[in-house]
Amino acid sequence: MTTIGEYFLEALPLLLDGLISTLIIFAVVVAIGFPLSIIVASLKTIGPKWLRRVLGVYTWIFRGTPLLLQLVLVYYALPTIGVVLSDNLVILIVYVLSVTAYESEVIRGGMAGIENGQYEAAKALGMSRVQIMRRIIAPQAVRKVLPTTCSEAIILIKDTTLIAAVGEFDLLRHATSLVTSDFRIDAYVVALILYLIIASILTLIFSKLEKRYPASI
Amino acid sequence: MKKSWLLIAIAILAVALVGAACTNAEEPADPDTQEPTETVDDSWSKVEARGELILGLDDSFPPMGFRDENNEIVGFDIDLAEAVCEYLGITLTKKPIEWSTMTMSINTGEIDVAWNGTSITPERLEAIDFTDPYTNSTPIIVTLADSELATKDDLAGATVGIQAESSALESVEKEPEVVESFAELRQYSTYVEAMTDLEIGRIDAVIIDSVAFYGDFQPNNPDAYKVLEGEFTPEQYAVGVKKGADALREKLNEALQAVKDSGKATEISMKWFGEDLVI
Repeated sequence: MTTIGEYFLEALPLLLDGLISTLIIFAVVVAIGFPLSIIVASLKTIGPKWLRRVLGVYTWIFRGTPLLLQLVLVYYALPTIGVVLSDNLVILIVYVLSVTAYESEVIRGGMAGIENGQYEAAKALGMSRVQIMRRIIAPQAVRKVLPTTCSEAIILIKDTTLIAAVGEFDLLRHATSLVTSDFRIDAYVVALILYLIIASILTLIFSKLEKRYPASI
Repeated sequence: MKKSWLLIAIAILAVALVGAACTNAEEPADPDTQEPTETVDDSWSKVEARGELILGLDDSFPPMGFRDENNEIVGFDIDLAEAVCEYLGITLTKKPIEWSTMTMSINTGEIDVAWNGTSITPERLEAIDFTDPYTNSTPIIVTLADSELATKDDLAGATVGIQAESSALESVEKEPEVVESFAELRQYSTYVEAMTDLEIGRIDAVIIDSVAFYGDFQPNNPDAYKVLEGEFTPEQYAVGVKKGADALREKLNEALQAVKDSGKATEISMKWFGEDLVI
């Protein structure tokens, strides 16, 4: 039996491999999902009525069903109607749609909190609705919702464990295989520490952002 | 200042956890040195007094142990275990467990035996003991009937699916040069998912335990699949018991032999596999 220290070094390369998968998914989903959330939230606020309805149905579906179920359905059920997507594409689409459903609601909440006077003042200056959204409302709303967005980001990191359902290996899945083949739970402890480290880094980044972009100017 | 406080808290937590893991890891580390203090082996008398054998299984491994349409746990191993318990005059209790930590369930006494297509592996032998093997399983290569692949060598450059944490995976990993020739070896949580992906066409072949294929997938869909020429190292299935539980192990061996001798085991094998696979 090796000591925990030796075991840590032995298990680390495989776990880091999983950690990299986890971080890549996180980075790509955030890079696409966050800007998309701002756009969707804006459209939910100032878009035409029919579009608001469509986005409402989308949010209802993706927020109201488990992410695991969405992944499995898109991966295994869509092929029965002839749509075969690669595993990476399935992961990308489902995670972006799911994250955007939540985050667009968070940002929309921030937008609703901005007093009407600002809309009216901007309108009086001759700005169009799109200009008001882009220059006045969206920047303030995003600042307001930074703390909630931090929570959403941490939840996303933990949700990446679900990619195991479509045959991909993330950090937790690698840890499980180590536990199964070595019969010691130490790999779980290492994984736990790695997750905590990522969450801490995210928390630090967001607290910096909050200081730099305070909610009220 | 707030930040450094957070970092310190995390560091403390990390150290505490590592410490906890350390003590946990050391406990079962040297069963041999602890053995002499345990002079009486009560592994069988405990089961006998209780009147029941607690069988731990992953209830999703057809045809060895799985849930039928009535949500009852059935299978080849279950029937065999029932026959063994009948011989021993005790009842059988089936307990679904997290299979990946099965050896821990045995060592904590949560279950008496791990009996669900449990193959004997060197890693498992370090943690638990096994009875005599009762059947063999060979990891075979399965494709769709219209596949162009014909032999094991054709797998070079192919995308191959397998069940994660399975004994078939261990067999395959004994041939690293074969694994390296694959385009990819994709690991699924269950064989059902791997076989579904084979039908969808995302993967070219599945490496699967022969018992699972012939006992489950093949009968359900006789014309859909093709078995390629060439296979991997066979595994032996046996019953897993706690390390040092010799009395229980001997009793199980005796009962297994009796069930084999009476022809009951052959009968059960015919029922599940359509052929006699008992050894």
